[in-house]
Amino acid sequence: MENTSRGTNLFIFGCLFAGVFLKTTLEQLVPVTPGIWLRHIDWLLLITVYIGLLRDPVRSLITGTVAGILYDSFSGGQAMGVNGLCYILAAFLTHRITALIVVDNLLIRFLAVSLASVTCSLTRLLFYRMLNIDLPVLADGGEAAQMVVFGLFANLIVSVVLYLFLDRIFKKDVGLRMRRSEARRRRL
Amino acid sequence: MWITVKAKDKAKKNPTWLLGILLAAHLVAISFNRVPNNPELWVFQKLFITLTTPGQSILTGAVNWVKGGINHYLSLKDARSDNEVLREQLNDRRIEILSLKEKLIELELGKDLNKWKSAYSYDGIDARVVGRDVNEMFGTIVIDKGSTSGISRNQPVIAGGGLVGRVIFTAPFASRVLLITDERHASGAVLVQTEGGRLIGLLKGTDNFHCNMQFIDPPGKVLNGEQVITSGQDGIYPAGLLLGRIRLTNPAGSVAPQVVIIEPAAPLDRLEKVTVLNIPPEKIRNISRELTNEEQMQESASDRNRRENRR
Repeated sequence: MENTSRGTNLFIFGCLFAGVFLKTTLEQLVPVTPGIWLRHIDWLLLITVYIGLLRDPVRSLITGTVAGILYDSFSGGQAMGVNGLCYILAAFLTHRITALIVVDNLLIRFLAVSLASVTCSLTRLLFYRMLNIDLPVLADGGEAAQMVVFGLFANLIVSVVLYLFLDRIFKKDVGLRMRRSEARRRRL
Repeated sequence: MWITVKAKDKAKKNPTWLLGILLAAHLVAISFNRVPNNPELWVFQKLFITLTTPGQSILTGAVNWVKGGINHYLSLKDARSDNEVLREQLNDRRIEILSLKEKLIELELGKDLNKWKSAYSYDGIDARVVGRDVNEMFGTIVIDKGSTSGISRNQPVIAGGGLVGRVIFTAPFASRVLLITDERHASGAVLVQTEGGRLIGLLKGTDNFHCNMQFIDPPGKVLNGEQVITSGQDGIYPAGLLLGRIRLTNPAGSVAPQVVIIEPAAPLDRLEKVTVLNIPPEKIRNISRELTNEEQMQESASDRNRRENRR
């Protein structure tokens, strides 16, 4: 049991690192036009939400924290801690959704990703504003809204494929999640 | 295990308290960003950038190798390599022309040419780009050379004959470079007109692989493709580095509007190798001070002339 848990933790950490490498290294090698769209995908958020969907709140909150530390460390912006806070909120929100809605299907995943993406973007913008980080996107409401919407759609589209891939990696946890939701349904 | 089994079970039943603790810890971390007189709180960044740069470097190299191999076989082998050589030569000629133009202007202004030095003649440290910023709002890149190679903050970075940006953060074996297209970047710029005139302005990043030139003074006619170079008055960049070229919607040219779109000369979207110019910041600041003094002297002289003309 302990080994399985450790293995899952290692897998999560590996996925987070892969997400960071995807964002920092591979995106620069893609031609400009698709590269602009790829920039809006938040791989770390998608992984955090997926872990949240596995119905283990402690693991999802810790994943959010680690994802935030990684994000801030690989970012040139002087705002340490902001993204960790965003991902923790996203993880908690996903936990609340999975706690309220027992079933697990594509629609629930869409709902979780949408709420997490919007919350994350808005919290990030709010804190950047509070920290007086000089970004024109913060001065222009239209541009900020555009960024939130682009991020939302990019995350939703990518989540379909990514979660299918992650389902294969976390096979054991998917089974566990199914059993948990089944047990809860019976209890209800 | 850093969370005990008992605490874990408690957190699983009611994760709100864990959320509270983590939120409080993050708020404390965020508050450190605003600590006065201590702007160097990038401890994690220094650690991560040092630890991950070798991995990123290997990965980038591998991807570039595969990409290069595929491209090489798909495209015409010789034409491609010839094109690369010609492009390099073209960049060198552009720099040469730019330096000569600057020299000519200095000569016209009657300055001592022995004291004049082209911005491109400084020693450079070649580095490889290993990563980009994870946050889409910030336009920065990571290079595989750091303070151990002699790189320090605010040094200009060039590629393909054009300015890429400046170093904003250094670790022992890696550095972070702020691109000229980042929204937080601004520098003094000079628009070199085809007709021979020079218009001064401010270059700002737009975070969309382009820059804007604002506050153009005096407002004159601008043409598509005209070059924009650094003015040297910002105290960060030496004068004469190529920033980019004007991109107008009207190809016939127009009187400079309030904002002109500038296409960066450096290939910022496909950066692989860059050169960090080894210029001591004090030297640039001294040049900038000299330029400002000269400008002030010129202004006061023109004021005097105007007053005399009125009399």
